[in-house]
Amino acid sequence: MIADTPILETLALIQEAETVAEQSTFANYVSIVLRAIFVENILLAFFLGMCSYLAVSKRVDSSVGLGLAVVFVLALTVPINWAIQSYVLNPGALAWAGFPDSDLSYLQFLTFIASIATAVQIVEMAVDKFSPKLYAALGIFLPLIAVNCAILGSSLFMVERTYDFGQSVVFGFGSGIGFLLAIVSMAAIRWKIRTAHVPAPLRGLGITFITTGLIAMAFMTFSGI
Amino acid sequence: MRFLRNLVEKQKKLYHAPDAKFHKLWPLFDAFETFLFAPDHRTKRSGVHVRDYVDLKRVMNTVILAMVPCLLWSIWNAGAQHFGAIATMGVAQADYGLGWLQGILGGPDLANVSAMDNIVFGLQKMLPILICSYGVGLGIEMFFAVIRKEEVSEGYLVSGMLIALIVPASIPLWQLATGVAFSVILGKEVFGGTGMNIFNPAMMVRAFLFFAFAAQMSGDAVWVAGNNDWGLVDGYSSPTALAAAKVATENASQMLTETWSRWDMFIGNIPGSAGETSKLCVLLGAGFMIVMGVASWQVMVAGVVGLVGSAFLMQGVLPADYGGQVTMQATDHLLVGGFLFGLVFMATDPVSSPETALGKWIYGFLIGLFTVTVRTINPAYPEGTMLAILLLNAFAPTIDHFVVAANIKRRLKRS
Repeated sequence: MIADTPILETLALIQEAETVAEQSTFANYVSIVLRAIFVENILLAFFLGMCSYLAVSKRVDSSVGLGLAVVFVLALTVPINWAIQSYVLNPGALAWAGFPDSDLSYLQFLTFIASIATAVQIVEMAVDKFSPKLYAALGIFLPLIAVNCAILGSSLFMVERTYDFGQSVVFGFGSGIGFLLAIVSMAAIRWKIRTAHVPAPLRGLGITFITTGLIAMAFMTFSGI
Repeated sequence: MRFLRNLVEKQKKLYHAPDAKFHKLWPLFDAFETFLFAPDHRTKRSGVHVRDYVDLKRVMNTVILAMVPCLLWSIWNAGAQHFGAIATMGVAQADYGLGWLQGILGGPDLANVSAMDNIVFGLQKMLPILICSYGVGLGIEMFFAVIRKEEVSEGYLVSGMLIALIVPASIPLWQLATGVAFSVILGKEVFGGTGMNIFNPAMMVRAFLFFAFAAQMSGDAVWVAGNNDWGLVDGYSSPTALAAAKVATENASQMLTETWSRWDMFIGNIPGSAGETSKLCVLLGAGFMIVMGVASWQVMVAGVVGLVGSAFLMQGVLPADYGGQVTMQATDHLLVGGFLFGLVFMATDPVSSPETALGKWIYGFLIGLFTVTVRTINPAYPEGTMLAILLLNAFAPTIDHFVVAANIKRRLKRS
C-alpha cells in the first residue's frame, strides 16, 4: 500500500504514526505512575516494606524523611537494576562483550541486593551530611532500606513486567511516591488517633493494620486504568 | 406529654443508680430519654468552656433537617423512575405484581399513574432501606455503648440517613446490612466511636458495597428499582448520566441533553443513587446548613472551584480525540452524578475533614480535582466522588499537619 502512495503522503503517514506513538508513550508513563502510586501501591496492595512502614509511621516528620529516602533509592535502583538485567544478566545479554550464549540470571537477587545496598549507602551518607537530625530520627531504618522488601520487590516487578528503560524510571519513581504517600498519611492518622478511645486489645499495631486496610480501600481510586 | 415524662421518670429508677436492676443498660435508656426530652444536664459554670445550646445533638438534627428535601425527592424519584421504566417497557396491567405497601394501599393503574402511586412505590423502597440502615447501625452502636459504659451518641442518626440516600434504591437489604456492619464496626467503633473515625462512615458503607457487591452497586441495570418478587423492572437497563457520558465520543453534553434536559438534571429527574439525583434539594440543604453554621462553606466553594477548574484543565491537557466525559462542558460536571451531594453532606463532615481553615480549602479543591480525574481518565469508573472523598479523608490529618507546621514556622519567624 505504501508503495502506491506518493512520497509526501507516506511521510505524513509516518509522522502521524510517530505522534501517535509519542502520545501513547506519554499516556503509558502516566498510567504506569498512577498504577504504581494508587492501584499497585507497594505497601497497600502488595504489603511489601511493612516493617519500616509500621515502625517509622509514628511521627509525620520522620515518616516524610523515610518516604523521601525510599523515593530516592527506588528511582535510582530500579533503572540501575534494569541496566544490569538487560546488559548483564538476561540470557544472551552479554553478547556485547563477546559472550552470546551467557545466562547469568541466577545471579539476579545477589546483584540487585548489591546495587540497592550501594544506593542506600550513598543516601545514608548524604542524609548524615545534610540533616543529622533526620539521620538520628530514622535511626536503624535508613540502613535497613537496603533489605526493605519494597525496594527489591519493585526491581523484581520491573523485570517481571518487562518494562523498558523509560518505563522502569517512571515505575521506580511512582512506587516511591506511593510509599511516601501511604506512610505519611498513616503517620498523620496515627498521630491523630493517639488520643482516641481504641479498644485495649487493638491499641498499637492492631488499629494500625485496620487503618492500613481502610487506606488501601481509599487508594483504589484509579483501579481500572 | 406529662404522662410520658412520668412514665420515663418511673422507669429511670430501674436504670440510673449504679446498683439498679438494669444499670448495665443505662446507655440505652439515656439515649432513649434524651431522644424524647432535652437533657437536663449542662456544662458546669466553671472553667473556660464555651457554653452554648448548640451541642452535638443540635448539630446532628440540623444536618438531618437539611437532608429531608433529598429524602423526599428520593421517595418521589424511586417511583417516577420505576413507572417511567414500566411505561417504556409497555407492561400489561395483569403482569404487574404488587409490592408489600402497594398490597396494603392499593396498586397503581398503569395506564394512568398518579403522583400518589409514585409516592407509595418510593416509600415501599425507601422505608425498608432506612429501617435496615438505622436498625443495624444503631444496634451495633448501642451494643458498643453498653459494653463501654458510654452514652450512645447521635452521630449515627446522620450517617444512617446518608447511607440510605447514597445507595441505589434497588439494593438488596442483606448487602446493605453487611456494609453497615462493616463500616460501623471497623470504620468507626474500633477507632473509639463518634468523633474519632478517620473515614466518613456513610462513604465507607458505599465503598464496601461498591467493591464487594459490584453487580448491585454499579453498571447500568441497578438504578431503576422494581418489585423484587416479580422482577419486572429490576435489571431494566438505564445508565446514569455519567455512565452515558463515559462512552460519548465527541460532545457528551449535547448527547446528554438529547436524553435529559439540564432542568431535568438539576431537578433530579434522572436515574442514580436514591438521594443524590436532585441538585435542587442538595442546594436547599447546603443553604440551610451554611445559614445554621454547621457545615463548612469553604469546603463546598473549594470543591466546586476544584471540580470546574480541573474539568477545564483536563480539556486543555488531554488530546482532542480522547472522548468520554472530558467532552462534557465543564459546568455540566456539577449537574450530573453525586458530586454535589457528596461535597455538601459528606466532604463537610467535621470529623473526617481537616480542622484548619486553609486545610479545608486544600481538601475541598483536591476532592474536585480527583473527582474529575477519575471521571475523565479512569475507564472503569464513571463516577469518582466517592473514592475522591475517601482518599482525601485518608489525607485530611496529613493536610492538617502540614498547615499547622507552616503556621508554626511563620509565627516563629515573626517574633
